[in-house]
Formats: sequence, C-alpha cells, structure tokens
Amino acid sequence: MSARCLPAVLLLALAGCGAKPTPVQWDELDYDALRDDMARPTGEVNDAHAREVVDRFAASGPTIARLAQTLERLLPAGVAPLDLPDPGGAPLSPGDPDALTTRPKEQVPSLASDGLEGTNVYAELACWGPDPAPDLSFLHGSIRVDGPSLRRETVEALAVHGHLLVSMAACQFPRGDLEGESPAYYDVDDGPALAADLDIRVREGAVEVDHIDERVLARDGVLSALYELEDGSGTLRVDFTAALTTFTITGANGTYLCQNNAEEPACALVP
Amino acid sequence: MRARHAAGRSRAGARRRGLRSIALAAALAGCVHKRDFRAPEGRLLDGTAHALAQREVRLDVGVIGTGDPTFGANLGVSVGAHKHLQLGTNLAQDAFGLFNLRLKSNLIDRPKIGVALETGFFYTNPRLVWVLPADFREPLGDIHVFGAPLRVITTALAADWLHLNVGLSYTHVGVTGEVRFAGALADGSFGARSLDLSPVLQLLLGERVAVILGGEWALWSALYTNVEAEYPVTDGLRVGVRSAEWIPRGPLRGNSYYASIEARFGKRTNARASISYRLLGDHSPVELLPSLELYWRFGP
Repeated sequence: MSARCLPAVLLLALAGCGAKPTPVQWDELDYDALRDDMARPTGEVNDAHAREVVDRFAASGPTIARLAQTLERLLPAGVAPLDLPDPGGAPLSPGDPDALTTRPKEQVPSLASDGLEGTNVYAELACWGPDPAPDLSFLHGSIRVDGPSLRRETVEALAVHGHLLVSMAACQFPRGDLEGESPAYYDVDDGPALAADLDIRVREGAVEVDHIDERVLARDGVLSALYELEDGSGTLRVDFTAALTTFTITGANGTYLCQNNAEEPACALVP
Repeated sequence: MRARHAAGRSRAGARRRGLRSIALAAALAGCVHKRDFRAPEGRLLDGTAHALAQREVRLDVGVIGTGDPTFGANLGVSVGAHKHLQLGTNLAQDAFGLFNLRLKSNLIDRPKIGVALETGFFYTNPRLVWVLPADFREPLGDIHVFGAPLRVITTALAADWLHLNVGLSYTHVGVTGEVRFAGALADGSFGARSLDLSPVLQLLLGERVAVILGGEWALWSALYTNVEAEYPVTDGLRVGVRSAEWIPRGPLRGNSYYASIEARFGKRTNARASISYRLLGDHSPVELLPSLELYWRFGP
C-alpha cells in the first residue's frame, strides 16, 4: 500500500465515528384495545378451559405478581400497596415520598422547541433475586423501564400517561432468569393503571422453562392477565392480587372463582 | 524655557527611536535569506498542499500558535517519513499529556497545483495531564478526550508571487467515559463535529518574504450525545436520563482571520510573526492573538 493512502485509510476508519446515535424505539402498546379486550374476554369458560388457564397461571402468575410488585414502585400515589417488603425499612406505601412520582401537569416544564427526540428518562429497578423476599441491592440484575422521548406532546402528557418499554436481561427471579422486552403504558387518571404486553422468557441456566406471553393490567391493586386459549377459541381473563390466595377466571359466559390451595387450585363457577 | 527644552528632548527621543527601528528593519532585511518559494526546500508548508521531502526534518518552536488547535505553545517535530508522507507531533502537548499525531500526504504534487490530505489524532485522559491537581485527575480518570481533524488542501500557484490555497476540514472532537459524582453515574459520550473552509493567500515578495493572509470559516457543525446519567433514588431504584441526540446547528464558533509575515534568516532558520482575529460570539469579546514561531528545516 502506498504511503499516500495511509491518511485516506485513516479517514475512512474515522468516518465510522460519524454514525448518528440512535434513540430507544419500540412498538407502542395499544392501551385502549387492551382495555377493551380485558373488559370483554371472548372465550367460553368451562372446566377444560379453566384447567388449561389454571395450569398456565400456576406457572406465570407468581412471576407476573412479583413483576407488578416491582414495577408498582414507579407508580404515583393512589395504587393500593402490594405489600412489597423493604429490607431497609418500612414497606413503601402509596404516599411514600421515596416512590418515584410524576409531577402535576401544571408543573411540567414546557419545551420551547419540539423537544429532544432522542432523550428519555428511565428507571432501573432491582430484580427480585432467587429468594421469596426481594433483594433490593441490584445483585441479581435490573429491570429497565424507558419512558417516552421528550417530545413536546409526550412531556406535556408525562404527568398523566405515557408509553414505556420494560426490558430485562438475566434478571433473577425465584422461578428463573427473566429476559425480554415488553411495551407498557401507564395512565394516572385511570386508577392509576399500568398495562403491559409481556413477552418474557424464563430460563433456568440455558433451558427455557416458561414463556410469559400475556397482556396484563395492574389497576386499583388488582392484577389482570389475558390468556389466549390454545384451541384459538378466544381469551379468558384472570384477575388476582399479589397475595395470590384467590383468583377468578372470566370468560364470555361467566366467571370461575379459584382458591389457590397448597396442592392445586380449586375452581368453581360463580353463580 | 524649561518646557521648550523638554519638548525638544521628546522630539529628539522620538527621532532616535524611529531611526533605531529603521536601522533594525534594514539590518533584518539584510539578514533575510533569498528563497525560492516554488522549490521543494523553499515551499511554505503550513496551510498548503506541500509536505516535507522524504527524510527531511522540521523543528518548530512557537508561542500562542495560530494553528488548530491553538494551545499556546508549540514544540513541533515533523519528518518526511516517506516520499509523500509527513508525520508530525507537538512535543509540548505530548509532554503535558495531550498526545497528538498529524499525518500529511501530498496526493498530487505538480509544478502548478497540489492536493494534500491531512489527518491527525489527539487523545488525552485527565490522569495523563500531570499538571492538573491530583484530586481533580482521579475522579475524572475514566474520561477520554479525543479528536480527529481531517483536511483536504488544494494549492494553486497562480503566479510566482501569488499562491492560493483552499482547505476543507472536518473535525471530530469527542469525550467518552464515565464519571461518578455524589452517587450519580454518567456514562457515554458526547462531542461535536464541524466543517470548516480555510482559504489562504500567499504573497511572495522579492523571493524573500511571504505575506500570508488566511481565514477559517465555520460552515457547519453538529453536536451529539450518547449519554446515560443516573442517580440512586432509594434502595432498588435508580432513575436516569438517556440522551442519544444529533443536533445539527450553525457554526459553533466565529470565523477567524489571520495575517502572517514569514522570512528565512540564514540557511535554515525561518521566522513567522502572526496576528489572528476571531469573533467569539455576539456577547463575547473579540479574540486577538499574536504569535511568533521559529522553525528549522534539515534536508535529507
């Protein structure tokens, strides 16, 4: 190679530095559609379908509940506490000033320009860890929650509602390590409510032991998960609380009430 | 009577000073060595498409240089590393921990026209800048500062006494690394990129003196960030801001202009005195910098 080419080669190499940084982007959750689908499950609730959903819920329900308890720390006052134990002190309550809260709308600064398309706020929450009680030390990975980019319209709405991206990799929970990205949405005026379209793989080592692929909604202290029936006949909604002592399965034709016994859940049609 | 004597002494003093200046200028003019500005050993190199010949060495000593970057002191050494490749560094900056290297390659070298590509790289880390206080260097030790100026220069010999040069520069200056401060962590990179045009007019008088008039016009610039900064709010919860922005904007700095006069004294010693002018901004003062540089060229 001729020596005259050396600066040209360097120039080409340095041109790689010119790439524009890319902001976080994701397909946003359709919250209205999720609420409609939650309100009107389309599947027939019967013993066979209830059995199928109970089996799936037994695998994913505790993880969904723990995820909700973890993410609940981001919501402002108004959410019923989910008894999240805090090793460092008293449980966080809805009015806890340490909880991340959004500001009233009138205090949100307005952007003079169209905002910062590639800038967003985010939160990182410590993963639960392998034990029944959560470890808040970040020793077991973290769940990252990205907020919307600071465009004028998103900043003005930030105090009320907004889209989120919940992502995790090697995030340790009692049932295994969680990984995946899930679009989510919060609405302070609606409860407040936090909804997500979960797409989470649960691994034990290299083995995938579960795939949580449900849409969920946390609202007024109640968690709801929408299960697509495997025969493709529709959806059933499971409503539960973090305590997981009881849960209901609701379909187009009625509701089953289930007691979460130590052996296996017992369900009966609600008259 | 006393006042008249004082006025007479003042006029006489002014006359003596004027005569001394003329005598000094005449003496210096007598010292100015004749120089063929078209010959390889007599060409002006800075801001032109010309480079040192192979195995030729140049040493520079300067204060408040007008070059880019301007860092107050220049102790440069350049060598013709190959037939068309010149390597150089500013040892004064290297000594303070700002490592730099410049490469210049004259891609086209014809009697009337030349084209060169000039590239470079500089890098520093606060830990390396030993003149900084230790308690400042350590917390910033994971920050890396680097820059890469790239420039294409065209030189046209319009006449024996007039050479025209146009340079087009693209400069990338970046900062990358992480900083921890009071529990907060900032990690990522940010920087600026700019495009500048630098025309240079060289008037070559009597084969002895070069009067150089040049400027640097900022054409375009862009800022970029790719940074995450986060702060622990409470146990198990950190909040942060991620910014991945590309912000094209007008020139980051004002245009600059300079005028220099360069002559050779003796066989190898070259001297250049310059004054540069830069309008820093609407609310900033004008920057006016004088500089003096001496350099020696040692042939192969």
